[in-house]
Amino acid sequence: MFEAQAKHASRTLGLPGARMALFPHPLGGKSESQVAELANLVHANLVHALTSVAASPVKPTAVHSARLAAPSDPAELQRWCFEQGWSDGFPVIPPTPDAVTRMVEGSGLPSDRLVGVVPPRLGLATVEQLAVNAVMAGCQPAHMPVIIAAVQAMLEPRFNLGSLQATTHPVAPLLIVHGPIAQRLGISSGAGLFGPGAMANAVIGRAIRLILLNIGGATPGAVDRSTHGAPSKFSFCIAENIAASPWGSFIEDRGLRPDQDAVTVFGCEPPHNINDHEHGDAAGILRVAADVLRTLGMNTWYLGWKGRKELMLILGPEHAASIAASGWSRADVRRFLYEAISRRRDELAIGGMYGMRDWGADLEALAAPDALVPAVPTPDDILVLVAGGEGKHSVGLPSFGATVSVTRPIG
Amino acid sequence: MSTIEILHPAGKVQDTGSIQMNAIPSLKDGRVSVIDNGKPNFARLAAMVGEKLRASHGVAEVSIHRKENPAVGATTAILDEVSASADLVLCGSAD
Repeated sequence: MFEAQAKHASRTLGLPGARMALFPHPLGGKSESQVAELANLVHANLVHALTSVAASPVKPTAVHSARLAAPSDPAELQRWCFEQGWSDGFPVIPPTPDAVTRMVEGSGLPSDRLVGVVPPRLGLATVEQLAVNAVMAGCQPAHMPVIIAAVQAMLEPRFNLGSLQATTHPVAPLLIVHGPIAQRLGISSGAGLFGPGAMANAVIGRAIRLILLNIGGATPGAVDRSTHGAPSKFSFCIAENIAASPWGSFIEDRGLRPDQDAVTVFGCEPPHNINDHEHGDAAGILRVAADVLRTLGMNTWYLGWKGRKELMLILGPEHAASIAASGWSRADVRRFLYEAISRRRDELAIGGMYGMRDWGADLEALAAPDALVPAVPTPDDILVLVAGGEGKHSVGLPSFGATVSVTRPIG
Repeated sequence: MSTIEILHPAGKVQDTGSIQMNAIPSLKDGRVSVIDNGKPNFARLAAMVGEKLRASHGVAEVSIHRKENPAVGATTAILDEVSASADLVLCGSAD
């Protein structure tokens, strides 16, 4: 079941002939006697794998021809690209040499500039290769600087892209665009920003997905093992609604000017709705928000990236205005949520990933069953920004856990 | 079928080189290291398989190294230790 993923990993990491001892999935949830039965099978398969005739000599990794003949008929092209494993199933714009050249020009960079290496396939993300996927997604050349900055951000080690690409969790990188470039490109920060409704959000987010699929090799069902997938894996791009924010831009807390063009990537679940039509005060609204952001099934309780982990709250403008009218700052919001987003240790022990937790000594010291365990290490690890249109809704975004958001200037 | 010319969507990959895996002559008195992926029951399974390798092939030592959590790679310290001390490395994958 996970054989394709393991073979892909061994091939890309330079061990294409690695031997495998396969056994039926899953191992988790088995009793000791069942594990003992599987151990017999694994032992036999392992000995066979190690003592059988060596695999035929390793073939060098295939180098793709840079140019291909593709069907010119749009419907045929759609079907053909999907069959090749190069698309999400929607129609694609053909990445002809001319179209790709125009897209590259939008970046202001040379076509052969290497932006990074995208895991787990370790595909070379040159400007031209990114442009190919941007064309396919329906982007405009002016979108390229956002795409390049987002890819650079995703390739920061703390983002942990390799794990995001292969996990059974429904994580996708959320792109949040900051600064004047968002308005210039028509990236929606208002009503319906998660879609549908804004072309720039749709196509930039889709370009990122096609880059992760094609350059990164995250083929659904083979390498991308997400149990259910997620609608956010098609496209997941928004802008921050600074005009509606009582506290300025999110990126000011990250040392950037509010008028700086920038992009933040955050590896998270699709939005969880926070509906509160009842409260007009900060504490009331945030108690409801905290309830949404303390679900027992979220990774964040259990896993982190070198001791770091985050949650995100995107406040709708009306909720943000009500909270600000109570005299609360963004830091006040974080402090309140940090206290409110906690659970008793004995609650956390009943499920989720308790047996796999990577808590440090500070959390393990909270040994009493009724000890309250915070979801994130500090109030600053709760990311709070404002976006959306009219209405008494906000959204909570639990992360993958073992990932840290990255903000990067554009250009 | 009428065609058009397009550029390849996936492109080239980084050349990581490759190591040919050879059959192991013998595990007698050998050292086996297991990188536990942190998923439930893997450490238990690995310990059982290690004991069977001792009994069946005379393996001298089985060590199990657990990753910080299932969603991150093994640390450099683990990899250095394993590469310096093991004749055979077993890695857990999946759930």
